[in-house]
Amino acid sequence: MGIVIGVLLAVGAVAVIAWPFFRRRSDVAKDDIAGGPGARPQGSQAELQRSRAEIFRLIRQLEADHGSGLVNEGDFRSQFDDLRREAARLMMEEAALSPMSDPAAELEREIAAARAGLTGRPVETGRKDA
Amino acid sequence: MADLGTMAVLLGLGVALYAAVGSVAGKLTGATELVVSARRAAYVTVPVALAAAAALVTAFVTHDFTIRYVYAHSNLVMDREFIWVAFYAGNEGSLLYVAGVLAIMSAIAIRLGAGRLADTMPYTTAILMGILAFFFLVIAVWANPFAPLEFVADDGLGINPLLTHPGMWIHPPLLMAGLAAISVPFAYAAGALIAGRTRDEWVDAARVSGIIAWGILGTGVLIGAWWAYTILGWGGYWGWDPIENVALMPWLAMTAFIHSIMVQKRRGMFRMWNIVLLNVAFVLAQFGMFINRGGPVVSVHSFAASTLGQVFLGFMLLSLVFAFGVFFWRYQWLKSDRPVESFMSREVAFLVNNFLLLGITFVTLWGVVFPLITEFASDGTVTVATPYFNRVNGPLFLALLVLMGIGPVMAWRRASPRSLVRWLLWPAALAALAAAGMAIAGIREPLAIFAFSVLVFVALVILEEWFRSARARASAGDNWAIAWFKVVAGNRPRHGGYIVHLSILVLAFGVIGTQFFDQRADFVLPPGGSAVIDDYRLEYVGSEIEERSDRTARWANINVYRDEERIGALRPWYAFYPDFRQASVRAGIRSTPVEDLYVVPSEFLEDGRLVVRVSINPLAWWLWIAGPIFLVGTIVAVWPQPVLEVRPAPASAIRSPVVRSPAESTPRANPVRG
Repeated sequence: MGIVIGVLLAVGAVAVIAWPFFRRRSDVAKDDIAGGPGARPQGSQAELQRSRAEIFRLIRQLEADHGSGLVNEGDFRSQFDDLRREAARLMMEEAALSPMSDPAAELEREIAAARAGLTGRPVETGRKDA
Repeated sequence: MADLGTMAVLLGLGVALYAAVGSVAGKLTGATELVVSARRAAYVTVPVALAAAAALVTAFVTHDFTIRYVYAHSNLVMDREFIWVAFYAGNEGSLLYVAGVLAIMSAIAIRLGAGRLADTMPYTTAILMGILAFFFLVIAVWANPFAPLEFVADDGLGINPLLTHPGMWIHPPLLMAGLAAISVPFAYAAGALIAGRTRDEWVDAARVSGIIAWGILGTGVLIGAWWAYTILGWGGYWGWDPIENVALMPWLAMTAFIHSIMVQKRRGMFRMWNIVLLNVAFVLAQFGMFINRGGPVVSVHSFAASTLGQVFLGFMLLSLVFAFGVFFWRYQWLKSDRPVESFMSREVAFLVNNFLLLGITFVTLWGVVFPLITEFASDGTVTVATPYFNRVNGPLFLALLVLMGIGPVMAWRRASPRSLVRWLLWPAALAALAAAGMAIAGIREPLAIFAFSVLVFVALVILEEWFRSARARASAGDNWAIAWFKVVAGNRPRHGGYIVHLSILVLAFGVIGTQFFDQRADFVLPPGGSAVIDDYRLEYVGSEIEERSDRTARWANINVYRDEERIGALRPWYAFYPDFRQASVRAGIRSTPVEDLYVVPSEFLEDGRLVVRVSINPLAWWLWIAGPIFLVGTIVAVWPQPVLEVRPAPASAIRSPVVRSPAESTPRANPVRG
């Protein structure tokens, strides 16, 4: 009985492992890229967008720290600018890969959206010149 | 079932080897089919390992004493609930368990990384499967749990009595799983380096898997302390035993890593340092396997002593060479994006935290290896005892606690002294008041007073940050509870970390209480006799006896009085297992948040008297409360943050001056509300 189960296990294992060699190459390639959740090719726009979303999250956390008094006004301004610059750099890199419109307004809109993301309602960005 | 088990182990070895070699070969030659096939092979190791495990469980359940391992670790009178414990009571089953856990964790890691880390996953897969292949190889060649017994036996030898404790259900599995799980973040990082991804691509995956490994290992260590407290009968819970130490050391290194990785994630710094920490943790995990499985040291936990030492020593050295070989190969591309701007910054606080943690790690490591080195270099045997560890590590732990209070309120990049004073003044003042209160209340241990006041200080700093953050949100209209939940949800890694810090404070509270204020006495009591310790009186009523084929067990019935009022009864237990020539005890414990009354029978004399050890362990209850808090904090820290969706960048971003001057672009102060 044990040997029969063992043989079945081995046959099943070989079948599962060998299956990619019996499929069309294009299907296998698709399977390779889509092999896991959040599957996106690296170095792509999607990766740049993910990095930009991470910057927005940091901005939100920085603002929370500022609100609690953990970060003072001067440091808040300086760190906010650094993050904003980094987000803009990523946006420009991404734009080089794909077309669209007004980047400054887009950046502010996304920061506002990131803030609102916590509560589900929009929050004023505080920018006078946006 | 032995046939199925042996076939599954050999199949597991073949499949893991194929997955390791195939994924790298496929990547290097551009053969996508081979990469995908190797990945599927990695998934296949899970059912294969489970089949082997199921075969062994079946052999235990059916009392198949034709298998040597089943004969050596079970018998007909063994309680059924301990079959799971018998599974890993020896090296062979332990290694099969580790292989099964590693197969499952590897499959999950490979599945989750297959998309986002597609470039690096073939190497990560190869590393994980290489480690798994090693375990299958050891099982197949040196430690086969399905090896036949050379003679016919009607009954087995039975399980080691010290393992027949509920804590054994979960303590060894968690420890072994924790040590194995460190392979996952290591494989993510090393795979990325081999693939030339030397920036921060691997950080999220390694951070999350690192916290999971760390949480599992930490929980295992805590449950082990509880097991030791209730069964080993010396009234303690941590004895700096080599086996305890080899679980603690990778946990400490991982603690350093999960702090330090935040600096890389947030600031693009400490890239080299984080790789070094992961390498150290991984090699220490292999060192733990070597000490556990190789049996070169004497320990109260040496249930699985064997001659596998050289094999695991070899694998540990191979791990060391591989881990640091990859690191030095990619060393020059691991520079930080920016330098440390100020010594008064959160980055530096994390670095100091790391040095302290590594300091404790290496002090402990030296305590473990020194007897081995001495034994190797001379004929003499040297034992490194508890005072060494306490004296050297005690101050380091205390410094770590102080830093736990200061670090979180230091800002990234640079912290202003004024801001620090504003944050720390009240907690420090209240901690000083608490210290004065303790002195007035009659506590005469200066070090304990200082340590307690540090706990007060750190707890107040955490509460202060939660209060201020919740107040900033509550001002927008939320009630305080919702505001606090939103604060925690808004930055789960940080606030989950604070909850873990609270658990460490609770643990430290128990440690300080038990270390500085415990009382202990031995008594010989005739039936009806009494003993007095502190304000307790213990009356020995008599004993009960139970004879079983594998043991003679006795219970002592003891009434407990306080100020002559009966407050309860204890039934400590003592059993002797002739086959093992070993005694096992269960302490009788009356536990309250103030103190534990701990009673353990040392011997039942033939004339009816009881030799009993009685301890009062102040604040011991808090040691075990720390565990659930630790788990909650870990889960919060590792729980995924909601995904922030961003729209694709507009094409005009290339031409437009998106970034204006700071004065122009910085918004006015605008805390996030909600």
